[in-house]
Amino acid sequence: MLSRVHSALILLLIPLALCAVFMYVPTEKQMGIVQRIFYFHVPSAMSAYLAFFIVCLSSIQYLRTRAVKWDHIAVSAAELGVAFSLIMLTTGPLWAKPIWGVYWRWEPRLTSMLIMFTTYVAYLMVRTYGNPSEQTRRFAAVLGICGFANVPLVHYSVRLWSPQHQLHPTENTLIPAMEHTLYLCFVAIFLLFAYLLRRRVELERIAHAVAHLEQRISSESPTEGT
Amino acid sequence: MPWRTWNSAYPLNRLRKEPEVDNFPYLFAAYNAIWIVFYLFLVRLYKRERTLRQRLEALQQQLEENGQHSDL
Repeated sequence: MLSRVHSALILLLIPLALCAVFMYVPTEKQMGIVQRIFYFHVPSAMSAYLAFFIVCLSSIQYLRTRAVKWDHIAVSAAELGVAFSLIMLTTGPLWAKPIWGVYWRWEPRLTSMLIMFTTYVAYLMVRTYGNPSEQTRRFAAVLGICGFANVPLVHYSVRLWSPQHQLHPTENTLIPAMEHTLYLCFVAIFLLFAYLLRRRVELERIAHAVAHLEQRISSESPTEGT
Repeated sequence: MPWRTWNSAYPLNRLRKEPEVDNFPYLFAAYNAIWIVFYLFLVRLYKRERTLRQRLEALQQQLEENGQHSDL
């Protein structure tokens, strides 16, 4: 029941958010219509931060308890975090090109963001190509915790580095209509994030059950033959 | 003619609309990229889930044929 309500809310709020972005919110005068990328770019960035925070927390819990459910949450959140980072790294340059004149600049936020993205791609590579053993899970948990150290650096990079190295504004002022649209997009994207995370954790649980049964069958088959 | 060289005799709304039209392909590409990423993620998720559920059912059946319970 809760799952259906969640799905229905996503199906309602995503089109509503798109309507608000393209029909309700006024066009920003300096940047023009390309500024409308902002309404999905920023919630995607926040979702990526949230995903990596979940990876960090679940990894700590896994190292403390060694309960495999925390590992399932960590790997699922990491995959989602990479997907949302990919959205941010794709939409960002497409927004930057008409405003800055180039797709990419090696400025603090973009560079730290790219480092964060590659860290979690490395995390997923460890999970994909490493042996499905406790040692791999432990190693990935440590990587997940260390990787999170970069997240505050990405977020506060606009304040940590001097203004002459920045292209991102240090402060944004939004009119009420823009704020409302942004909040609506936040709710829609966070609901989608929660849905995808739930489904991805469920997938991990099934994969674990399959591996458990395969192991059990293979360990019992030699005794049947004797 | 670039919109910035137009003189003030042009209506102000024309001056504002011109760069918006120029930037439309970037906006279009960005929103397409967002939905392509979500679509690919969901398709991959459903495909993997379907394959794993089929495998799980087959293994449970195999265990039942051997007279054991799956404990799941």
